[in-house]
Amino acid sequence: MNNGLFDEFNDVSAKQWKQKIQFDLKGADYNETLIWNTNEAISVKPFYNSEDLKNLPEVSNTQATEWQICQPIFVANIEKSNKKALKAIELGTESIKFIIPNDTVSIEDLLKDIQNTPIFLELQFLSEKYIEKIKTISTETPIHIQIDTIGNLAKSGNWFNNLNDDVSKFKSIIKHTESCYIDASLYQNAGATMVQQLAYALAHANEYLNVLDSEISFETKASLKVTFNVSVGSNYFFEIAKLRALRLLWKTLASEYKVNTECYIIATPSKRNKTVFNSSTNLLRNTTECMSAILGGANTICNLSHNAIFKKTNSISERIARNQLQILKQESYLNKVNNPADGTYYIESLTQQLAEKALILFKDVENNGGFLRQLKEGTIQRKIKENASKEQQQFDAGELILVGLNKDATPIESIKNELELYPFVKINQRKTLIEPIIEKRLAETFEQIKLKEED
Amino acid sequence: MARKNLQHIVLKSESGERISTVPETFTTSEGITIKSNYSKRDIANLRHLNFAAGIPPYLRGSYSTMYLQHPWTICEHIALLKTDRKELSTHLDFEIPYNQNRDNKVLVFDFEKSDLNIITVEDMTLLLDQFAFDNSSVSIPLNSTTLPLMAFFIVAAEEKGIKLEQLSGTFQLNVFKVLMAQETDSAYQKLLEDILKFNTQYIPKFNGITISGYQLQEAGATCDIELAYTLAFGLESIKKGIKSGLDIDSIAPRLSFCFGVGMNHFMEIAKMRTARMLWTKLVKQFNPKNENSSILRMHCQTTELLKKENSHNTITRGTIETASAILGGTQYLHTTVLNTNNSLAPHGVKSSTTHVQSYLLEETNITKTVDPWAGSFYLEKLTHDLAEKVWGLLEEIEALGGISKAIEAGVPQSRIKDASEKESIIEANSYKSQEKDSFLSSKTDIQSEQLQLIKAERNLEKVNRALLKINGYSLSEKSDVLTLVIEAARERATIDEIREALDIISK
Repeated sequence: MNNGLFDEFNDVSAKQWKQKIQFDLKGADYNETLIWNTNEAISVKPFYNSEDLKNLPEVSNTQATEWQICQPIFVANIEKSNKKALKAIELGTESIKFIIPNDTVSIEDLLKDIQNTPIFLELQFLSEKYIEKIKTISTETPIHIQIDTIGNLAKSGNWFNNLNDDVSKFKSIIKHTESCYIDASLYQNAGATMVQQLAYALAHANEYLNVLDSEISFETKASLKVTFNVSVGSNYFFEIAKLRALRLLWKTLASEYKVNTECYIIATPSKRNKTVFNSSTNLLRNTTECMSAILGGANTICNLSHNAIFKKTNSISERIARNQLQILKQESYLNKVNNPADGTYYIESLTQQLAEKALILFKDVENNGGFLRQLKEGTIQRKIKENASKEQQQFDAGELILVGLNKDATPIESIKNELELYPFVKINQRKTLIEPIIEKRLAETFEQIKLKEED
Repeated sequence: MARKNLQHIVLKSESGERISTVPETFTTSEGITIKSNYSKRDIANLRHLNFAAGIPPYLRGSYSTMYLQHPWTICEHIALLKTDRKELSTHLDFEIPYNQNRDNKVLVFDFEKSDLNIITVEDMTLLLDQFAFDNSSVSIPLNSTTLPLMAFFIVAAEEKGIKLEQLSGTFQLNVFKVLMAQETDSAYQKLLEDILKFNTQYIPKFNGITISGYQLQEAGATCDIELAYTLAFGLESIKKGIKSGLDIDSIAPRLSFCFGVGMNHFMEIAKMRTARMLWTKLVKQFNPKNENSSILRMHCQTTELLKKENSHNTITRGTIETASAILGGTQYLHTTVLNTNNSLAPHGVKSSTTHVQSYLLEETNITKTVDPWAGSFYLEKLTHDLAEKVWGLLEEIEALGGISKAIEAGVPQSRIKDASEKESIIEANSYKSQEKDSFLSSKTDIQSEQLQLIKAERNLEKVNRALLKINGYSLSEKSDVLTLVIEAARERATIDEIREALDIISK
């Protein structure tokens, strides 16, 4: 191969580059001007080069050529949901996630005429019998059951029934499903740092591992399908690194239990940074968030409608969201290479740092009795809230920006008559076993004030 | 129940064993093979990996800290609509408020894109009413209208009492038009030199030439072709300048390049990294003393091609393309999210158009480190492969004796035609460009009334004398032609009268 094209130029060492920067800074302080200190306690340098890697990294196992577009459908009416799914498949979705609110939904009817399209069933209730029944359905299409008892506790503050019942049902369900589902999107949407999101996702999963360790066979462990549902924000390269770190962490933990070291990742854009005002800006956020998810190696991506926080689901917004993924796949060729991020100095460095910090926090959680224990004590909630309020202060001070709200605000449009859903945290006075982890958007207070001004 | 003790675990590293075994490949429209997996073996022998930013050959950026200290300049190209006073100002009222709170934003009044009919100085005066001097710029195409437009601009400014040194702008060479129309730019080369001489003295912020390959991409040319032919025009400009007695350090820093940004995300990032390295290599043969001479100044513009359908899809495309340009390290960036006539867009869509660049700058943190994708096995291999391809095309052009000779031989034209899968796009585009050249075709009623008035008031004798002087001008003469055109403009000669007078010169 002819490599002579650039022979006349010399390699530049990190030291030489830094000297050039010092010269160009004309006296300004290097660290103060150029280092970005993040809420994850990671200091991002002005440049990364090959000297940041001890050895050239090995390839990861991301399968970015195979990522699938997923359409979430909340099942309120079986027939309508079935029709909607068929239509979505026709228009290019590659998998469907049905959210099933109760055990009156007939899965057979729901899946009528659906073929060769992976189906995720998120069950919002706990029923062994229901799952046994699903397993007996003969269908052309692969079905993945998603049920997360601990996730339900963290989100609602209560077990489905009670600790013992939930655990015993989990034990028998896992024998049917041979899969395990961890919904970690809650932590991101509630304002946790990425290190917390990763550590809590792992600690959350470890509660299941502790239970299933003695319950299932060696073979089942080796093929156990573990799925993480994660939420992806706009911090582009950090999010790419986050997904890669999650795979590394899972591999590290799973091998201790001799469980399948490959996990499945489903990613969705964050709700935390979405806005009611200037909602079309959410389209931009969703675009780069889906890009991060793809490049970070998510297996399935459920896009969010740009107005999902205040509009009922409607076919137009859903089509726009689906098209975003199709454009990324077909026009931007983001499905041609399995491991586009591998080797990237910056991303490799972030991945390593996030994973190492998360592992330390994970061990700390374990050392203090584990995730459930810390959830009961309120430690997890407190730590997430600490970072959430830090972010809130940064937003209020204009350090953390939502374009269209606290920067480059366009003349504010009237939004009152546009609201079909209540877009703010609902205060629920119901007594709960533990304090639930609450999802909260950064823009809420700001938007509530603006809405009042409309009156 | 005892919990499993996990305090000893250490982070696993990647094993390097891939599950998928069949390496599939995909060939891009540039003819570059993309594999489904990349590893360190793919970059083992690449020479460019350890280049930096701010140091030749500028692989990773033109300046050592890139956006950390100076974000790119957000260019809002103002397509000038009809010279209906009301319509022009409505369009601008919307743009200017955002403009004011940003120092990295500039409004570009783009004559290439505009349907605005500039017939006399009066039309330019109207435009100057809208000009915000701190952050406005003019882009004048290099063709038969260049001289009269420049002259109108200068006269209008003078008459309004605006100091010339406050005005800024560039001349734009449309590579596609020159290639496809087979019109050689040699007739205007001398005129351009005169303009630049005048401007350097009187309008120092208006003395650069942007060589634009943007329209090549619009016409369906691939990234390698766009880069090669655009850089070839840059090389030709340097050679001509040197031939006419200028030295490299007074020519090269005046040149900048404008590229289109397409949808193939990583290819576009590779394109910009490649462009900087190859330009530095091309300039190096002339032994520049000034560091600025070998830095490629880059403008990028997202494509309009796919922006005609559903406006929400266009926002997604615009966001992806804009991200590519930023990740590739452009210095000036114009995002087209909708057709230029975007006054028809619904409110939400329109505001997000202006928000695309702000969003990427303020929320995604992609600007916190220089050339963030460096090291990616995939991107680095792509950068290498593209550089080799472009260099091959540049060598082909050189073998033919430079880009002008190559055009005469018809080589670039046939390469573009081959590359473009959709020839109808080329035709549509070249048709459009011819149409735009004709300023006569669509005068508005208001304008023709105004023109009658101006014609009635002007001193025809003086006008004719001024035009005759332009006629009498010969290329060898020392007095520069721009001064003569300025005089004619002052006397209210119309653009067509001036072009006619100039045409005689170029023949």
